[in-house]
Amino acid sequence: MYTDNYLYMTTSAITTSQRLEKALEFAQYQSTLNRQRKILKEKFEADTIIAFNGGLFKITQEWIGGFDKLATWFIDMNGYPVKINSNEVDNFLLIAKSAYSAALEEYGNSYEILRKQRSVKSLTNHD
Amino acid sequence: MTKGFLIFAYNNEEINYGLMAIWQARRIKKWLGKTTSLITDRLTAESLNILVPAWESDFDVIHYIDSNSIQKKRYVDRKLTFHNLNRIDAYKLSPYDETIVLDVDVIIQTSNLNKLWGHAEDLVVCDYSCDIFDRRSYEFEYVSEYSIKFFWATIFFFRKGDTAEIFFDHCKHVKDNYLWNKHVYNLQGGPLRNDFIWSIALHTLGGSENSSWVSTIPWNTPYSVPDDNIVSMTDNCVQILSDKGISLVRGQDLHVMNKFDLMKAVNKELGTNHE
Repeated sequence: MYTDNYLYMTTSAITTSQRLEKALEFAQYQSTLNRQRKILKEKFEADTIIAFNGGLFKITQEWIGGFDKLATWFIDMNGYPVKINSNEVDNFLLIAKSAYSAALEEYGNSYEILRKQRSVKSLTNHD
Repeated sequence: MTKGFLIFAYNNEEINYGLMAIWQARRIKKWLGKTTSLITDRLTAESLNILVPAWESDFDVIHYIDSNSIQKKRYVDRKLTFHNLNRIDAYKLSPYDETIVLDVDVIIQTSNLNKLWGHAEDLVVCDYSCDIFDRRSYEFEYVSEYSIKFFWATIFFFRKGDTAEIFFDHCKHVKDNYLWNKHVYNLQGGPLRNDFIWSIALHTLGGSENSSWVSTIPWNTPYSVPDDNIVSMTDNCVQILSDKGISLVRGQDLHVMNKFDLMKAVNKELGTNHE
């Protein structure tokens, strides 16, 4: 079993410059990871916007949950009401749901791959 | 109702915008399934005749309009002629009922812009953008410090009708009185910018409500600044290098301001060899 003293000896064997180098490498990795996360999130935000009857709608879980099939008017992203006839409402919800689940699936899978990457190079790799 | 994209492309001393227009028209066809029309001049067309035989087939309609621009713009480390004075003629030049006007330095990697067709409003402009390296700059939020809101002329949608016609007429008025407007809105020096013309026209047409009347593209358009470099570009993915590190943009349209690097990437994709 290692003692506290052993751990101290091991740590101090690494030079200051080596520690700084590791810290810098870690910082570069973290900032790249953070940027890539933001880029993925922006993509998800754009992918969850759908066009219907001249309006653009931002689809969220809350939007789907609160969807009123009996409604005639829906507020689009610019704050204007868009009329959706009763015979189109089901199709509207279907398009919204499938756009949302496809975007979420892609976001989730891409995020999963991203968080497994352990270097700046692999974070920004094409493949 | 006819729908299509409109691109303006005028070569200058070093940048072959015509080649970039061909590349973009092909990307538009591939990602958005739409056709494109081009506004250019004879000189640009002559260079394309040599580089890409039968290039005209990439476009629905080609209008040849000579540019009389003498203004210069900074391109990374040098100043080159900047031909951007007839963007305000988009309304009368577009052969379509519904048009999306696009700068040639936007890398199309999605079908997002298709969401704008059939929009309830006759004019939809670009407001939201984000730097891919998260650098904060008021330059793309306000036309100048303590001045009005900034809008991009890089991407916009219009449908032929009263609203769009009034808007473009007013853009012409703003352009014709640019020096005056430059003082009123405290614009910085440099060449005439369509972004500023758009911003001022949208602002003044809103009366006391400023520009809040206009509909905007609701998603962020990511951009990289002129000093950033393109490391590589594939079908749906671009690697950008800056002094902040490296970023990978996949599955999003990207506005790339380093024309020299974009030119190289376009050459590679088209298999041309323009130096």
